[in-house]
Amino acid sequence: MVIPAAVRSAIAEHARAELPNEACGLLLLEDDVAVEYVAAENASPSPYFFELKLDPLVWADLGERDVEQAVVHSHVSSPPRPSRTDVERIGLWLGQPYVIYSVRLDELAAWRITDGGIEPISLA
Amino acid sequence: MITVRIPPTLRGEVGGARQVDAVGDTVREVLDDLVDRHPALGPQILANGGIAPFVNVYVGGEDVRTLNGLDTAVVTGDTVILLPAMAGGASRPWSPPVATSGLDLVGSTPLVELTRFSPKPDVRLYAKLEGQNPTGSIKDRVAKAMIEAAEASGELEPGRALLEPTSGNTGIALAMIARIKGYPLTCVMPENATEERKRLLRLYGAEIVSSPAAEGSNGAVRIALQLAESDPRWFVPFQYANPANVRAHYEGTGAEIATALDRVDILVAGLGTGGTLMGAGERVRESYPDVVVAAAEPMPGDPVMGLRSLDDGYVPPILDVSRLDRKVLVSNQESVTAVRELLRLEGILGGVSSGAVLHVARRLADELDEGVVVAVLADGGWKYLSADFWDAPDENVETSMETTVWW
Repeated sequence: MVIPAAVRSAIAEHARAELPNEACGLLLLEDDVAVEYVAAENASPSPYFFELKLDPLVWADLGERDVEQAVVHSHVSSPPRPSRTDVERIGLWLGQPYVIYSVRLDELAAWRITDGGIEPISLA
Repeated sequence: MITVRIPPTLRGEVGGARQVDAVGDTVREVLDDLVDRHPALGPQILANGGIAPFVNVYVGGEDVRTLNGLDTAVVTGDTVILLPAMAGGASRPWSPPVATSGLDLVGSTPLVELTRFSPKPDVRLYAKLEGQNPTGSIKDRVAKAMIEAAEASGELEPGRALLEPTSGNTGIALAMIARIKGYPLTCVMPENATEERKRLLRLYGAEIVSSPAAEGSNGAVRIALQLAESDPRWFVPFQYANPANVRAHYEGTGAEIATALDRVDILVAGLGTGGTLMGAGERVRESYPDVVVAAAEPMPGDPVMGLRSLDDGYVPPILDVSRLDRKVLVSNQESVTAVRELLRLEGILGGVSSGAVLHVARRLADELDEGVVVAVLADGGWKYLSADFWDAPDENVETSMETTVWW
């Protein structure tokens, strides 16, 4: 997966702006290249939790575009690895790309949470 | 006709369509019709007669959970939007539960990582702080389980009284549970048990019968059994032989550890009745079959408060030594040194047996390159404050321990 610098900074900026809480949003991908970060609202604002909230009409319209969607969220201080909560709450995003940004470490990482476990996706 | 907009994550179930048509006068009828046409959608969007937990359903841009749920009315021309819910985060938010009595406060103790105490950064060492139970020890689990098992089997009913040979944590735990449930309790203990122990037991409402100091805890057992034979009113839970002891640790201590951690390579607990090692060991082994269940056992002739040497000649009936993967001997001096270090490095005030368990945990952790070690710390240091070892110079620790029988 390729996340260009401009998209990466959009994610990082949003994550810092939401401190002390976690931030979340959607990453739109074309052929594994991130083309846009759509910041969402954390409907359960907490340093340890997020619940992604986006206007359903806007979100449904994003679904009309020929782009893949990946959930992005920030971890305030822990490493950008899926936590137990992330795995338990993966729901319909099972098998989809899953991106985490650690604010403290300024690290971005991509994963795929599947029935069998957690696989890293290499980032460029 | 209602239009249903399908998110990318669910399009595989509808042949790739971005939107599909369905009929119905309510969201429930629309979704049922949708599932009739595309059965693979069923488990994704409906569960237990309601909307599945990981999907959100909108009508006119409003979440139907905030409208009338599945009974929300729809009319021809409406659009129903399905979207994949998403939640997660670094960890689960937590708030303390509201208990209906002290009985509910037993168990669910915290696990804390001991980053400074761990010998290697890649070996994560966790302590299960059983001192956080209501009377301050792991024995609250055992006492509650034994009393409730006896109530369930009919052995214990109103009008009977409890009798247990113990000067220690089990007595205090039984006294708390007995007080809440309304049973009288008598504890038989060696006459040289500490005054603060006796005081604590009396405050919780227990009566005390003394046994000869020279006979130690075996003397207390002898006298308790004599009393029990003489009067059928007594019910003796007898933790050394009571399967509810093991079950409390299987269903409680062990299950809590297995649920909280993604991996356990070594589990260390003190050898006392064997309840923790048998119950928690078995439960953790079910989740992590390669776990090494290790017992911290005092060296023969060098008693560590709260622990039992099998060389003393008594093997508790609930203990099956063949289920232990490792048994590590620990001296009193090592136990005391470790418990003082725990306080100095981590700010945790543990009891002496916690020192023994941590000494063993650290030794076994040292054999790993990386991994997860869990140490069950049976109680806090609060009930041992009058002991001299806390501030005695290291070389004097041995002698400062010899004068009093604790438990």
